[in-house]
Amino acid sequence: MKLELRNVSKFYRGKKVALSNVTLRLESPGLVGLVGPNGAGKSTLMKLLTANLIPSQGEVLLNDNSLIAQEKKLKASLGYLPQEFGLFEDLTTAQFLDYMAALKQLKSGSIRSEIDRVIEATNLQEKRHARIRTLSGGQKQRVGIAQALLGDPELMILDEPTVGLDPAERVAFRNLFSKNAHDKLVILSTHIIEDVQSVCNRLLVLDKSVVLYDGTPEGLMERQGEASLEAAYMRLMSAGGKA
Amino acid sequence: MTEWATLIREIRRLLQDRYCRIAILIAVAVSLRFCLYSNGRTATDAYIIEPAKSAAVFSVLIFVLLTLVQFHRDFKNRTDSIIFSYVNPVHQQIRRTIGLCFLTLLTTCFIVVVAYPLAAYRLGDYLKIEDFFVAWFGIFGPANIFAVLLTAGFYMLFRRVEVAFLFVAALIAAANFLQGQFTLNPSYMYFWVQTSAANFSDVVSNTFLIDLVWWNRLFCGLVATLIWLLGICSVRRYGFGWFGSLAVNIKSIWIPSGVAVSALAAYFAFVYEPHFDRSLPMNFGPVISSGTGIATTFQTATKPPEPTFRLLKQITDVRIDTKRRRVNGQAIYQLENLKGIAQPLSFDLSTGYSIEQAKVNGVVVPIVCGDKEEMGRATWTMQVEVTQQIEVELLYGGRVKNNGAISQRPTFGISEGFVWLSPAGFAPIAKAELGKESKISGSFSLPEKLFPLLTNTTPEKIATEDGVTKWSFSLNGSRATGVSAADYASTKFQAGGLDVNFVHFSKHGQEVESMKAVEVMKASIDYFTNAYGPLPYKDHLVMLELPASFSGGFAAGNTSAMDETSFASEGFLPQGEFANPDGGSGIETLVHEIAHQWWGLATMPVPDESSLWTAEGITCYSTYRFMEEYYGAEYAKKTYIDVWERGRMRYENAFYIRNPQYLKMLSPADASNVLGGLRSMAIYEVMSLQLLKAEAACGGKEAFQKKLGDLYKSRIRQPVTYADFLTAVGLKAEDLDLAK
Repeated sequence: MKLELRNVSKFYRGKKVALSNVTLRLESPGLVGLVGPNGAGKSTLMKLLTANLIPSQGEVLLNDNSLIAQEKKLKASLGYLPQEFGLFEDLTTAQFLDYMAALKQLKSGSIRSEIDRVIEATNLQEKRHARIRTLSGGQKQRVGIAQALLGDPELMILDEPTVGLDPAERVAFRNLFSKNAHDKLVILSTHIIEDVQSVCNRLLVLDKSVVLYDGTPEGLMERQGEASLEAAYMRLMSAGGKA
Repeated sequence: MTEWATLIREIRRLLQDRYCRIAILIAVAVSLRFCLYSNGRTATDAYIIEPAKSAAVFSVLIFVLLTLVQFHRDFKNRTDSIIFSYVNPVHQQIRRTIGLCFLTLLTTCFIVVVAYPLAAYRLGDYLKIEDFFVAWFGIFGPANIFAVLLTAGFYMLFRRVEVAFLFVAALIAAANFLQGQFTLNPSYMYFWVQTSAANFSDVVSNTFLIDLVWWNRLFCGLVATLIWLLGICSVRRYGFGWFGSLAVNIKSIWIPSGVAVSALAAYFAFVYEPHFDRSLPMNFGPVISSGTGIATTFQTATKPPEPTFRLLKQITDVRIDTKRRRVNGQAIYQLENLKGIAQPLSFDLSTGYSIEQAKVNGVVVPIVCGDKEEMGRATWTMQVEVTQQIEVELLYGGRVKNNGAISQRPTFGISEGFVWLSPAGFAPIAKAELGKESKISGSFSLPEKLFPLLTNTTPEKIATEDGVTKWSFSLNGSRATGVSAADYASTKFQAGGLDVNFVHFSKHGQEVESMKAVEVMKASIDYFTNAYGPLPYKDHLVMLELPASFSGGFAAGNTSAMDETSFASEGFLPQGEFANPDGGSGIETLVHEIAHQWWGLATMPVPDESSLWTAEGITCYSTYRFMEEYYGAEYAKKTYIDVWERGRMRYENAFYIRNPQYLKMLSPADASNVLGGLRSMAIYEVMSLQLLKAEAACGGKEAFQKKLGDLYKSRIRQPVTYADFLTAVGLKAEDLDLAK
């Protein structure tokens, strides 16, 4: 799978620029980390990649063809977790995943096994029959991740997936995403630099609607002359984007 | 996973949703409450129709709120942000809407499980399954579906909860408001919530009323679908606003096609509504009104035109097909051309019919229908060449339409259990004068289970074959006859010097017997004849029971008719605070309607602006006097005097009666409405007490009734003003002032 943005800009009402002339190529397999301060344009970029938005300028391509023209194909191979999301509070975890599996058009014969798989992957076995409204914030986050995993999608786009998880869970999910990235394209947006450093093989840094850096995490550290990725990132930010 | 399976999941999800469960629970509970505590003029109204209508008004609000919750909450909580990444938002909103519509159906089914046995227990043999079905699956269920469609549509259109709610609330309020606006004569198709269904009969089929419910649902369903599809067009996509999203959505060709089809279909459903015609509103100027609501003889203010043809003979053969609900007939007219010149000859025929072929002296001629429809009739005109004697043959037929200018009440029609045709719905009426020797006769056929009644004549059975009976008839001195037919039973007796034929629905036999209706009729006709004088009919009087939808009574020729609510036995309808809103038991209503024969029909008391004089007061007084003689003074005092006194107290204590100066602060229209409402109370109760005072001033009952009798005999078939009454009894208006 190959996703490409060519000179993509996105403006909102009041001429607010969310993305400015972004050109990127993202291919599977790979785990791409997307970092940047609040309002940098990360969520906008993700929504463009999931066909929830259309660029104001430029084009988004899937396998060299217009993404919007292949929207149905994209949705069939997508696992998406937005930064802010809601769940159906009156359903149990299993019922919710069953509902999402139906929306994702999974084959009816495989739904049950898929639900079992993602529940195990997200460690929700004990909460399988619990109503979602009784779950904690972290447990709801895990349900969100679980629905993104349903159907073993070719493209996973996860916006701040580890928010609300404890450190042990964060490590576990990092490893899960890394494992998925062996044969898929996983795009991970996060504020937590350790998430990127330990598992991502590509790093995109966004700030004020432009891509400041596109490369490996080690490459940024080397260019900034810092021993840690966090320090390299901070130096990049304070320098105003001169990598 | 198919779309069907995805839809099932959506329905399952909604059934798990606590707001949905609460909404269904409340809707069912309140609906069942209405099933237990509603009222109506008939048992079918009280136990089936009115509960469904009242429940519809309440549950529509429930489902409006539920729809808004379902659509807005998932947007606000950002549940949609996940869902719309996997599915087309348009498809998801469609599934959501269908799921909510399914919930309304489920609610209806839950209610029906309890409501049906309850209705069966209360109605017994009077329960008709089609009435029950139309109440809950024709009125209640669709109202909720429309609420879901409209709310979803407005929400998707505006994307604002409060705006969507205001729009739907405005539509609910508009439908309720219009229902009380009789002067506007709003179309029955506007009442999308509870419909205008009312006055369902216990004893004959309600096909005419049910027709209106289904056509209303067709029209309202198309409009609701149109609004919803406009909402679907507006589902926000790709971060666009309304215009951008519309531009994207209409690329799915089925969406704009659906909008166009539903808009066109709604238009045609409204314009080509099949049950009412486009009769011009009637000019009530020349009408003598007795204030009774009972049809009275019209006097034309202008001189009728000089006749140009004389009808010598007419033979009609009519086939009334109750299965296809239409009439086919052949009518042959022998006419004399009075002017001896080529001139047009016209026939009045019921709207909804057409003349398929016209012949004059054996030659086919063109005949054209005029554009104007009036009082349920259209005029067909042919050109007659110069011939002294002509024979016209018309082949005609069609399905009855009703007069659309008056309160949209389906009076005439054909159904399997009941037939009612106006004279112009039976055969074309030639616009020609009748000669002394004119003969109008013919035959008609009906299913053998239906017993026919004609105005002014009695039909005779010819033969029955294959379940169809052929009847012959002959009219003397009248140009046309209508026909009613049902499973009638007939009881003949003599009263007031007349042969009285009491024709009632067979199903009402038990009620008629238990309330001793025949004895009461005989006694009351004898009483009023002795008190006032004989009725002006030649030989016999027909007392005819009408279906409840007639809502009142009428007199035509020698027939006096009253609707079936006059024959409801005590205890059958709800009692206490849920009693029949018309008030009064069957006996009292029956005698009251009979008394109207003298005051309201044979004579026409005319209301005026300064007094409470109408036919109602003198009819109430007459009814009281009979009931006193028949049931005793104690009964009559409790049922009449005490009730009148309480009514008088309410009237005199009414704010605007005690403080008439405040009426000037209202607009003329509001003041008129207030006074009208108070007056409608006072013409029955206060006027009756005034008549009792007049009676005392005249020296007692016998003296007073003698004077009333003299008045009656001197004013037969004429209006009777208050001045006429005062002159007859030798009193002044102030003599009847109850305050003195």
